[in-house]
Amino acid sequence: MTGRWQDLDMAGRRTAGTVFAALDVARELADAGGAVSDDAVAGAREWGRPSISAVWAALVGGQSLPSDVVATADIEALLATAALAVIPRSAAAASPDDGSAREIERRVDGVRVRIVPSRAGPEHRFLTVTFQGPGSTATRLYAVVDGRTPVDVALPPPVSGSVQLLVDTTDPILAALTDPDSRLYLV
Amino acid sequence: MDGISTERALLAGAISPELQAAFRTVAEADLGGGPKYAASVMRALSRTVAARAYGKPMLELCHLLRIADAVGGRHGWPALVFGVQVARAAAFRAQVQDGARRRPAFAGDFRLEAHGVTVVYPDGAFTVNYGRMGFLAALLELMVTAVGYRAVDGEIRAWLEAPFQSARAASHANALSRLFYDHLKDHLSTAQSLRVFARMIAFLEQDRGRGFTVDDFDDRAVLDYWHRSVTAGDEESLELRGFRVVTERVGQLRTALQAAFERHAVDTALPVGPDRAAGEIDPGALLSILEVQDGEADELRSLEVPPTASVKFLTGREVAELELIARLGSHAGALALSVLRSATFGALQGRLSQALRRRASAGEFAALVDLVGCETYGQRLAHWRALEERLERMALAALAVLVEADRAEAAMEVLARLPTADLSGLRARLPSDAEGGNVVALRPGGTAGMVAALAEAKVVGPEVSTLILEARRALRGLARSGFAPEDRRRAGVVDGMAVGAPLVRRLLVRLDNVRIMAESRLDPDSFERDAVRFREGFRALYGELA
Repeated sequence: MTGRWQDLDMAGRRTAGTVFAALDVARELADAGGAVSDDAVAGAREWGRPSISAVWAALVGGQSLPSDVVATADIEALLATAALAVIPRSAAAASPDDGSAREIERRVDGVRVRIVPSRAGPEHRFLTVTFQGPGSTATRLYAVVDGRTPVDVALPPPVSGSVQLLVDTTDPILAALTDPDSRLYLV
Repeated sequence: MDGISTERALLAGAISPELQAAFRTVAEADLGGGPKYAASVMRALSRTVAARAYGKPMLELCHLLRIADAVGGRHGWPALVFGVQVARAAAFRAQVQDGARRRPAFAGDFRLEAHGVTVVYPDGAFTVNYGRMGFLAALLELMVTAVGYRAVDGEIRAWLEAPFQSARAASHANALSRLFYDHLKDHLSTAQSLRVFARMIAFLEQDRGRGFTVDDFDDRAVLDYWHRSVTAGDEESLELRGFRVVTERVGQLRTALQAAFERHAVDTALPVGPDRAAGEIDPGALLSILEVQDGEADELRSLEVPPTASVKFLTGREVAELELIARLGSHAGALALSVLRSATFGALQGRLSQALRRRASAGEFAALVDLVGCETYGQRLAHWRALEERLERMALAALAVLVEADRAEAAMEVLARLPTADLSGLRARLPSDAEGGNVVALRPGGTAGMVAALAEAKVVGPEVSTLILEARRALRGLARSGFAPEDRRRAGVVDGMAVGAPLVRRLLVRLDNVRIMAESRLDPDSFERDAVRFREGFRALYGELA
């Protein structure tokens, strides 16, 4: 081997090109993920979103999802993995059209979520979650509608298998729970 | 006409913004304990992706997923992979051991080892080391971020629901690899890099003839290529505008050519192997080349991560000054003058780019294009000498701390500096149970009182004791974090000194080498001669703004 370019056959030249390109790509990726700051990295940062680890930590830690998480099939799949119970979308409208304070119920085996009128006044409803299995509980209820930011509410420990919360009628969780397209996840 | 920002944008075309964002998302994952993945893990990930060498890691990942699923309880595999706060070996060990305790069935199919977990399949066993789990978790998190959780989880579930047999892992690992590859082929393009490669080769063929060698990619080639590119007047030639970027690419080209020549010699001697006619290169071999190249730059990066991060060996400015030398690795000496040009004219070009971004006045542009405020070679070399003195002081002070802490690494540092030193006198200071041997055990952790004897001329000779006295002088009054008396009592800081001292010493050698090589290639007119060419180049690039 002379080490002269002219003695390198086409395969060798292609190898050199492949190595050069790989070095280029590795450097760019390292810059994107490393401490090196340049314009390309700054551009990438603008697309920033929470890591899947952060989303998972929030889910299993009983916290709200990071504020910039929008419901996608992936987020829902992750929610389903973390959830104790999943209540699918309703077959029919869960909310009465006339805005009456009628009772609304969503349920799945082992868990029932209800919205019931409150005697405290028309501007409030009771949200009750009833767990039917012994010892089963959840720390947060998420309601997910396609393309929207998921809404959630923290659940206190159940008393006799039931959790009851007084919710303002303007609370987004109430709107999400009454939306027949929403899917509910108890985590 | 714009400057480096456009160049970066053009080059960024090799990696889609989506993939860059995914990579950054993983790198910035922080669950409250600092970055989840170490910088070294992210670099290993970038090399693996670039070389498309994820076949073997996917196999390891499959086995890790078996372990994660077994310890994850109701939440399954994500509980371990996503749930570990900081993806270090100790954290994985703790979580796996905790999960194993809670699930008695774990012991049926898995075995906890000192350094990892063995999956005991009926048809064989596979061990995943705790130290490897961080990288595998980062790989999986990148896949999930880039490809999507549902798609990845679908493949994972197929594997976890398959019969519990080691032999089945390969096909599921292949399925995961294919999933990742299919995504990456739309987000990673080498076309731009290959264009730059072809242009640089064509330039050298024209300039030096077709018989050129790696050594022809030298300082003159860097300057000539840059000057010709920026003064050619066509957009295509302007793909690389920054002098520093050209220097880096020439370093890459030298590595690539060396690898090709080495492979050419091996391949022509062997009758079998990858399809040479197609220029194929085994991903594992490609990964090895990237690892060697990257490893040379690791000294600088390693100073920024634990345990060395607990000591302020270098300021941010000093790190930036050494960055190019570290990136060029073994080519820094060959391109020493280019490093000097990058630090002077290249830095001025950086200021021109900044001026461009903030739409500076024509007057400011005119001054910069005319090289007003450009550091001279003499000034920069003096600056490098001062930096060398600071690096030497840091390395010596770290040595003094290691002696003070009675750490055996101090003796290793002494031997690195004084290879002919006779430390056999230390044997007399070993505790009685270590006596009788004919070697001095230099294991980390030290032996009570032994290391302190390095300062005693009658034990180790005057050369070594003088070195330790110098080290103690260097330590006195050093104000940087980690060197104060109260800092030095912390075990983490001393660990940082033990790891950092040799790194700083090697960086010093690299800088010293580059400075000496650069000085040897300069004559009294070098700066003025180069200034003419850089002024021409800057006028071509930015003249219309002045």
